[in-house]
Amino acid sequence: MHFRARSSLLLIATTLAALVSYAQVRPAAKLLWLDFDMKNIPEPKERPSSVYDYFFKNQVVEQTKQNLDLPRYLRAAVGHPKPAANVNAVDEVPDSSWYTNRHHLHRMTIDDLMRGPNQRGNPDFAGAVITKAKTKGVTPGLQLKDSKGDSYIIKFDNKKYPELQSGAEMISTKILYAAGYNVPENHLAYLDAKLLRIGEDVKIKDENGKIRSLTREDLDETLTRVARMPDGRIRVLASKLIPGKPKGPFPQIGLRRDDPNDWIPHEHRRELRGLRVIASWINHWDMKEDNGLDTYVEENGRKFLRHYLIDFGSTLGAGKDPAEYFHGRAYLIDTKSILKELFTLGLYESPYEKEGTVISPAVGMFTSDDFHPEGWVSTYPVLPFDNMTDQDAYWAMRIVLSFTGPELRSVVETASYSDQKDTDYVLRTLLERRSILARHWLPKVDALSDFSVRPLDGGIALAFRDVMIDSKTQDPDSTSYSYQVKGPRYTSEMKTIRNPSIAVDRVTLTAAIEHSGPDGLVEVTIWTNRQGSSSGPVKVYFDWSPTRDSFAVRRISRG
Amino acid sequence: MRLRRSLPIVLVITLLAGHSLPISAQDDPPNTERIVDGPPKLYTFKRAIHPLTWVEWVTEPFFRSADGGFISKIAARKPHHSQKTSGFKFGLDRTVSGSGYGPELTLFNKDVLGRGIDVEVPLLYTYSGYQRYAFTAKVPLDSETPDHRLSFDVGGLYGSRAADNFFGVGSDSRLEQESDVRTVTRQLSTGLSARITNAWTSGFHVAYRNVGVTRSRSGISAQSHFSESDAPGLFTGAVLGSAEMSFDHDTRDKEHMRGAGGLEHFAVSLNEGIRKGDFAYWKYHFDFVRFFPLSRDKRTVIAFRGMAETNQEKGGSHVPFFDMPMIGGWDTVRGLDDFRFLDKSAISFGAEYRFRVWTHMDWGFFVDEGQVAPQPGDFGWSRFHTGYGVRSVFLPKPNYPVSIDLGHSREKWILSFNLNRNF
Repeated sequence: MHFRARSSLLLIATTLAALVSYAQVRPAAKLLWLDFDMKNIPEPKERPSSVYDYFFKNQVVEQTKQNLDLPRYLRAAVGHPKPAANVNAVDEVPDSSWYTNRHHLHRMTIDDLMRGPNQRGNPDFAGAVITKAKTKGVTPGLQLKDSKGDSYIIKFDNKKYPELQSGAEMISTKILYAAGYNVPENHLAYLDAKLLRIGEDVKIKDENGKIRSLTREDLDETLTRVARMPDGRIRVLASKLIPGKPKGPFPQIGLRRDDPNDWIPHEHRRELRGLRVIASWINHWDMKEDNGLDTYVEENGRKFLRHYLIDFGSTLGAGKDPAEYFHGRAYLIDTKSILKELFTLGLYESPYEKEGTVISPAVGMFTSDDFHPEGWVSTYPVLPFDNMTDQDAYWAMRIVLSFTGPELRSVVETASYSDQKDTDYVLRTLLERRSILARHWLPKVDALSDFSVRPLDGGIALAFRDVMIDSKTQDPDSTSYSYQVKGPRYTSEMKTIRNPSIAVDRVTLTAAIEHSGPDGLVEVTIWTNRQGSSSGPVKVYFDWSPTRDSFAVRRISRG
Repeated sequence: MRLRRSLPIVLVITLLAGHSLPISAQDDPPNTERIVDGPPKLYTFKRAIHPLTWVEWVTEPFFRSADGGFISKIAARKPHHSQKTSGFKFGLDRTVSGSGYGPELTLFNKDVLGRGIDVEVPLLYTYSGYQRYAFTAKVPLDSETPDHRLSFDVGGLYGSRAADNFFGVGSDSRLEQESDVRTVTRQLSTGLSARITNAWTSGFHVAYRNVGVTRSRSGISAQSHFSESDAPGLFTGAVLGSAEMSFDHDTRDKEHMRGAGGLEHFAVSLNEGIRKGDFAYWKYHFDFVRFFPLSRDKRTVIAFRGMAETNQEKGGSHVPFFDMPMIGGWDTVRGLDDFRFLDKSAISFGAEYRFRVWTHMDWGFFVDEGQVAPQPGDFGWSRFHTGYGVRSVFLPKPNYPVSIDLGHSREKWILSFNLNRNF
């Protein structure tokens, strides 16, 4: 009897919880460009960051939970996966402590793109002081304080692959910053080992695990294991310490319970979902939870968490060992791949077994000919990536396509490869991978953007961009657009045009506006026709001034 | 009634699940709107009640310990041992097939007296109560190379096998005759080892061995079922003196998860009873493993192993049962019980198709064959015992393979778990 009562209780609680929680977080239907999640909060605790968190917890526990989420499969099966929660009325991501709209909405100059997050000048390491050191392990590291008093984490290139990780990190930092993410200030710097001073009380762990003070001999020995330039200097990636108190990585799934500003489950944040497309473009295969960081910052008298992406040394063709082909092609533990090997008795050759080609020591293994956008995966599963919808991918594609060729070349040149061929190769590969991405993701959506309305001869002209045509993914001759104009009690005939500009005449507009209230909107539904098939509709809603001499797009609805 | 009284509690839990910490509104700018109206209701509660969350809560302390805590520190200490010249190391090992695994502490010093004398003292106690406490010392006689081409060896051993299976001697022993026997061995040995080439080694050793045989500490004692004539030495044990010459040829490509090469071992020994019975015999033993890669990257391999041994009595003496070759168990025929068949002569052969399914995991299918007989002339094609099955080899650390083998024979299915084995 007791057991039954308790079981019933648990059942009721579970059902209630399920009912309420499955009521989706719906974005407000308003044109909001700032999601103000920067209110003053108490100082959160530091979240742990370890293999357990990014491997066992994410890959085993959370991914299994997600894989057992039946409603999620049902929604996907009927073509309505859960949409991103932080999208405004015009299908964009508002600024927040996570994200700032940059290049794709507010064009950056080439200088801005090359500068990226580096807002306060270059470090000055002449006579810099070592404040921390890690001399053992595959990758040695130092922390330096420069002559201005700023602290930097110093990352060295592998002796066998000079310029590889530092170059990749420079390029990816600029791209991710321009894309809108919070990233650290990363600088290329050239150290003269003789000029480095060892600070007081710098401790290291020796080969027996004992803690002792760093000596000049330790430093010299450590620096024999890193790449040097012909003139003896050491090219390094200097990553400035991020402002604020580090509070550990943000969880890839769920909410940070000690952050009252955190209202949107991270797996439903569009900037994290859509990051899959950008990460696949730059082959950011090391996108584990550990490579995110929350810092408790104080800005304008308020203290809150700002959310960063960090550590881009394993992007493009780089990694500690660039010869590992499976990165970007299979998870570290890829059950599908393992089962394929198992059931084909080893005849199937998985990415673990394949050998790729190292293009050059500075480029590593960065290719486009075997790049498959759908099959690209990070080495550790990233749960928001699994929730990416076609709309999220389209949002990210617009960011990826926002870089012009010359802009991208300028970004690649910040890697300062000593061989021009490496610069050219990386640029060419980025452009090729971008084309492959566009051909894969854009046909899944309407691919229209940049809607604007202006008065025209008593009616209006609704202009837009066709991203597929602009990116040369689709021939304009085989594309047309069908549209209908709708008001509260009016629906026009469907018309078809060839150019991305819809002219709505005075009669149609008046009929659509008629009987609408003060908050009424006119809707234009557009279908994109390409080679005999139509996309899902995109609905553009606009309103007007009382004198009807100005119009504004208020909402965009896709799918 | 009870349910009705509990409803408010349910509602409180339900409502609490959506609560959040307070936010201070001080110094907020005018536009502080949010894109959503609040965190999703019961989101945290829903995640908390998921059964996998409970599993995570239970397992988290262990994994955290393995990740950065006590277990990790022990594991991280291991690689340093190879660089140290003295100290101790921990491990898991077994004594013989069926002994179970247990903790092993090995004290070592690779440079005693500064003369390159290599001393090891492994101390092993398994969960089944098997014990092995040994002492080995290798004194280099020629130090032209770091590997010492010639060394003088001294060793001692105390070993207790608490309850080995015993089914009787011969190929027709029945499963129903299963019983257990305990042996305790005390041994002293000395001799010479020589490294002839990188692949070839040889050794000559003499040993004094006192083997006591008693009733097992658990199960049915073999002494209750069998007589001394059924199994020589079962009631007396034996004190033996022996001299052995051995040759090894090792061309294996790496320590674990091998893809090419092989190991051949041949030994011949003369064994004379000193006390406790009339034992005198020559022992001829040969075993091998060999790996043939089927692909250039050696991810698909056919592996073979085999063993042949015969013991030839001298002048009407006997061979003690505990020195007879056996088949059954992981080392010979998987799918048969450990020590299932034993006699004065035995052969076994196994073939395995092995393929890599992941960077740290191999999968394989195997067939093992084996038979025992009094004399090699008594072997017959129709008398082989067959075992077959599947295996998975996992490599959590480069020097630590873990294998799980599921073997089947006419008698039963047997699942065995192995650490650090060589095949």
